[in-house]
Amino acid sequence: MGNSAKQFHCPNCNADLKFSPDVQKFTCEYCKGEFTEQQVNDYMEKQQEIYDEYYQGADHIPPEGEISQEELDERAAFEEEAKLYSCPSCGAEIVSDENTAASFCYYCHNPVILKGRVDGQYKPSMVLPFTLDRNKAVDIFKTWAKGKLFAPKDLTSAMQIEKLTGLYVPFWVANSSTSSHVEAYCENYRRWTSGEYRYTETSRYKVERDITVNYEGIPADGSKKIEDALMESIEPFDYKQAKPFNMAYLSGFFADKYDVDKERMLPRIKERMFANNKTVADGTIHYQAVKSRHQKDKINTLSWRYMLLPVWFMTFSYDGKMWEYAINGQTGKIAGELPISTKKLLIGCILAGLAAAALIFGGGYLFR
Amino acid sequence: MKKRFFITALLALTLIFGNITVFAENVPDTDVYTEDEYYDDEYYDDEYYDDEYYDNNYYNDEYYDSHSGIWVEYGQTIDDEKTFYKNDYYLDETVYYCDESERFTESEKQQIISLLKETSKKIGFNLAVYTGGKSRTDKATNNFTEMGAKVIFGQSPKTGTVFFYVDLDGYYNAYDDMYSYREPFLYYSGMYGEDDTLDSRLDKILAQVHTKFPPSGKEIYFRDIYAGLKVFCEQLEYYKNLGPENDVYYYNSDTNKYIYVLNGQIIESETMPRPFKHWKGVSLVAVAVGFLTALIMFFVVKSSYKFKTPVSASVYTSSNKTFVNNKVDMFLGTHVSKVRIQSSSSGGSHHSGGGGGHRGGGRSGGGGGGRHR
Repeated sequence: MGNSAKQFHCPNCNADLKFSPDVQKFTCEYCKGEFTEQQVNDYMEKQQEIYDEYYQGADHIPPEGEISQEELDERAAFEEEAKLYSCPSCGAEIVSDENTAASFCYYCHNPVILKGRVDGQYKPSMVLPFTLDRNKAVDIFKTWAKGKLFAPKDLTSAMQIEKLTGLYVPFWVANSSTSSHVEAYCENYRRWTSGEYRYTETSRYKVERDITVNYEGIPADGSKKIEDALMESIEPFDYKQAKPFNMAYLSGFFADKYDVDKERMLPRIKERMFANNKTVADGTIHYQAVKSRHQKDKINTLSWRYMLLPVWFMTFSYDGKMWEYAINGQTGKIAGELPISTKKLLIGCILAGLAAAALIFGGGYLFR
Repeated sequence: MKKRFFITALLALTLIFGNITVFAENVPDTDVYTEDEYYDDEYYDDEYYDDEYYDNNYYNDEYYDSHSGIWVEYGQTIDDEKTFYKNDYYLDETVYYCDESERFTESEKQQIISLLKETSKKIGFNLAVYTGGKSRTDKATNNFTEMGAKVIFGQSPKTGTVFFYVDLDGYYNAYDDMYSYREPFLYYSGMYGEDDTLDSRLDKILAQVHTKFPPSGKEIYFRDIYAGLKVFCEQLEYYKNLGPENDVYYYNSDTNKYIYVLNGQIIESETMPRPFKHWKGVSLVAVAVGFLTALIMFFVVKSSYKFKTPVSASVYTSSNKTFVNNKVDMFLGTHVSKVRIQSSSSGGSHHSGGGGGHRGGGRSGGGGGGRHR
């Protein structure tokens, strides 16, 4: 059942539910009801029981043993690569890429969760629900882009703001204990003058440090299509608010499954940890000059968690290039690179140049 | 028969017009001479006539000028003070004229003197014109005009002098020179911006005059010379009315005083004027600064529009999760080095600033320049 789509329905009116970051509950847009995770799960279980009872024996579903191996392989291949889903609300076919885990129906606009993308090995252990709703994210983006004189006007247009999307990004989160051994040759100086000579006394030291640094929750996004630096720029996330994974939290947002496994994450995580180890070790070396330095690092323990973290995401097409922006769906921290309107910058530079030239001329006239 | 007639007629016409053409070539050309005409001469040779080159490289040496047929001694000021009074000359309180070339009649000289008197009155400066007939090198001419401007009306005349040397020795590569001493320097300066050779008022004056003077080596007629001198006087008048140049000053080494223009007034003071901003230099600096500002702004904007700073891993650890297990600081040894202290008096450099009115050739106390015809 990897290619089945799932929706969560309102216990009152059976309409589709969405998770509301504002109240941290599931809300119904039709009857305005608000429900906890437990209430929704209970309702959905009841609904499933009714469904099973109603359809029992309606169709013959052969047990696994009766299906040929060839058919099972085809099904597995289909599950792996299938990009077509049926919307549970309207029955329309939903096309998604192979990594999409949650989306919206293009026809009825109801949220759908592509169950097979968050099952099995792709099932996250935790999910950090959005605490920043769309309106707040829009405000943050507008405020951030507002003061940027040379940014294109269209960047904050209504059409562009519409593109702001709540996305659960797949993250590998590492806990690790690391050790570093540092050897360095350092020098201290004392200078004085006597007669016609200036003297310098150089004292040399050999320095050794052994440090252990334990890290908790270093994240690395497991999505190829999202820029690593962009995701690292909106850190950190507060994992205390993370919940055990429940598909219901994805409702109303987009979500991706990882396409970079944790083994391939290791170099990134190591680089970040050992760079910090260097800073820590250097903080204990107090000499006027460090002449040579050598550092050996190792990982003592390492454990991973697969989590979905909330990010408000937006892309802006300008000047033949795609510009990406990300807002931490929990803290509101924003990152991205703003495009520069060549026309505006050119005018600005010319004006600044003219102003500088006018100042020189003015000065030349006054002090001639 | 008809054919033969036509051929004969054609030949006759060709001969007649040919003669007319030949005759026309011998007629003195009183028209305006173009720049090309001055230099479009088979005898003119830049290298050969580069006086400055010879002045600098063959100082105190002699060379034989095949055109003039005389030996010329380089670098030497071949004219002294007495030269101005040796020949037949005219001198009153404001005007000096001497015709060393002895090409003009008395009445022609009188015409020139009248012109000079009239102009001197109009511009309010002493005016001296010397129609030289002796072969002089450029440098010798420079020295001669400078000396003339200073000597004829005295070292510290009330108004100042403009001395114009017109080279009428009749040889190729004629070199006319003009020198302004004291106040006239502010009006007829040979300086422009920081480069005192290009596009100055002096250059413009000489260029205008040379449109009337005959080119080097050509026949010299009074009417051409007079026409040129008339233009010269008109130009002096024009620039006097235009006002003094703001970006030059004149330093009189004899009185240790500076003359310069401030807010349209000519000031004479013992102190150095505030640094002059030569507008050409100011313009270049302004353009450079403007460009630099624009460039800096471009890069600042470019870099400031990037809001992507990866967070350090330090946020995922804390002091209670960081342990320094081993800390060794081993003293290896000490050594002492010594360096002799440089004497401060030997450092630095002495800069003697040259003021306005100084030219590369060392013509202090005024300013001027020449131009080849």
